[in-house]
Amino acid sequence: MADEEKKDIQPDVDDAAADVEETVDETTETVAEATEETVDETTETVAEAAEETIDEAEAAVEAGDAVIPLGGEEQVTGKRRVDTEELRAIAKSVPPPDAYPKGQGEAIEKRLAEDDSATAFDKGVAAMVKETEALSETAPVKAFGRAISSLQRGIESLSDTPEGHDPHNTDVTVFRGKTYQIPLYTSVFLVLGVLTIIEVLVAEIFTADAITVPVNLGLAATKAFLVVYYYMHLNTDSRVFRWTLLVPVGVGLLSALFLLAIPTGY
Amino acid sequence: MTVDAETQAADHGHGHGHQDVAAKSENQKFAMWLFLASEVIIFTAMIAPWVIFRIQEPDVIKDFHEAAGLAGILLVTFNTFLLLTSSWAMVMGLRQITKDNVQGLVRWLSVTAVLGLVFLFFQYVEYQQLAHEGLILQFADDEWQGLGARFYGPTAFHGAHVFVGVLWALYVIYNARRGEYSSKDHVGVEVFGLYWHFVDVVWILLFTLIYLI
Repeated sequence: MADEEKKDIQPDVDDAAADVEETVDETTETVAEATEETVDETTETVAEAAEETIDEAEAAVEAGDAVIPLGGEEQVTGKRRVDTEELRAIAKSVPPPDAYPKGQGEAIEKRLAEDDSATAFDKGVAAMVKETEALSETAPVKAFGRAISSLQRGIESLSDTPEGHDPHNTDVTVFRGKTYQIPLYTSVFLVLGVLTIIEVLVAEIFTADAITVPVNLGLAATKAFLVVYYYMHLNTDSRVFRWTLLVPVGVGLLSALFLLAIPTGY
Repeated sequence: MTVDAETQAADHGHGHGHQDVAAKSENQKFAMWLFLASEVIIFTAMIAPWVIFRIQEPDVIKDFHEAAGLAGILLVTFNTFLLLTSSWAMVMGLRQITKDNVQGLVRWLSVTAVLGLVFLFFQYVEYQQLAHEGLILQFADDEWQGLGARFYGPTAFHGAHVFVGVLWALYVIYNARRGEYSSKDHVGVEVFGLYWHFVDVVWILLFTLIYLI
């Protein structure tokens, strides 16, 4: 860009920057006020429930009935030793936030009311869940949620993994931002199966090369890509491996095209 | 801090076990990819004659598809599903060993090996049927104008790869039962997986190029 053009644009850029700054200031102020109020309310409610819960928990640990995770390879508990793998499995079994249905707090409370063995600890947790649910419906929390989501999307758009999830995690399938509780490898297998059936149907139904050739070549390329990308781990492994595959494929295709240029006879 | 730096820090004073395993794993995988790169060239050299023939002699290919018939196509489709399923079993086995489940790995890899064997059996059945139709290993001067060599070349070469893969799967199963693999060190499984999936990818392309277009 020429220096003169830069000078022409400079005042516009400055104006825009000032506008953005002003908007950010206003938004920050509004959110801060709303958040402060919500935080006060939440803190009070949670503190009350927590105080009661902690008392109960302490009593339970002393009696040897409860488990306290301490970190490290093994967790020391009142009664038995739980290894880290087991705790990880428990943590993994917890569904992601999207999967929580509403009204859990009420449901838990209702269940506890019928359960004679329910402790104050259980009731405290139920109260906390209920309060959290109620607060999650308030405007500031929703705004905060949206802000965090936007931030997350921003970071994801900068990262290598568009889905923003851990691509090494093959226990679930993430598609278009939604998480499905089906192993990634199984989803890929199902897609491969469906594409194969479509291919065979296309070959059997249509006779014109103009349809079968491009459609089925496209489907085959898609299937090959899925296997190479997910099953052969090109999505997570070193990028050098991609080139190790792409270079000979490119050379091979180019050579085949050269063969096509050979005259077929006169 | 990078993952490597963290590993280094964690290993400080306790040797460099994790780093060694990671470096060994990356090197072996890269070696496998280089081998597969050479395989790409070999398979391309074998598939290209079929593609050229398909373009220049479409009527012979049409006759070939008619000779195979719907039953033939269904048989090959079934075989394709066998290989796709074997690839799925392979990767599910790998998933098990990343969770330190050796039994799971052995079970899934057994499925892979069995499906590979069944694939070979049906390929033999298909070859018998086609030979019955007069399609034999000829380059020219027969009723199929030399289609035989162009068909049997890549498919039989692929079949040989499946056979080697089955033997390799059995070897990996043997190693797994001896406790050679764990969640931290299972490059032997990964490298075999790369080979097996490559064989699957080649079949995905052969299936479409030979039978569906």
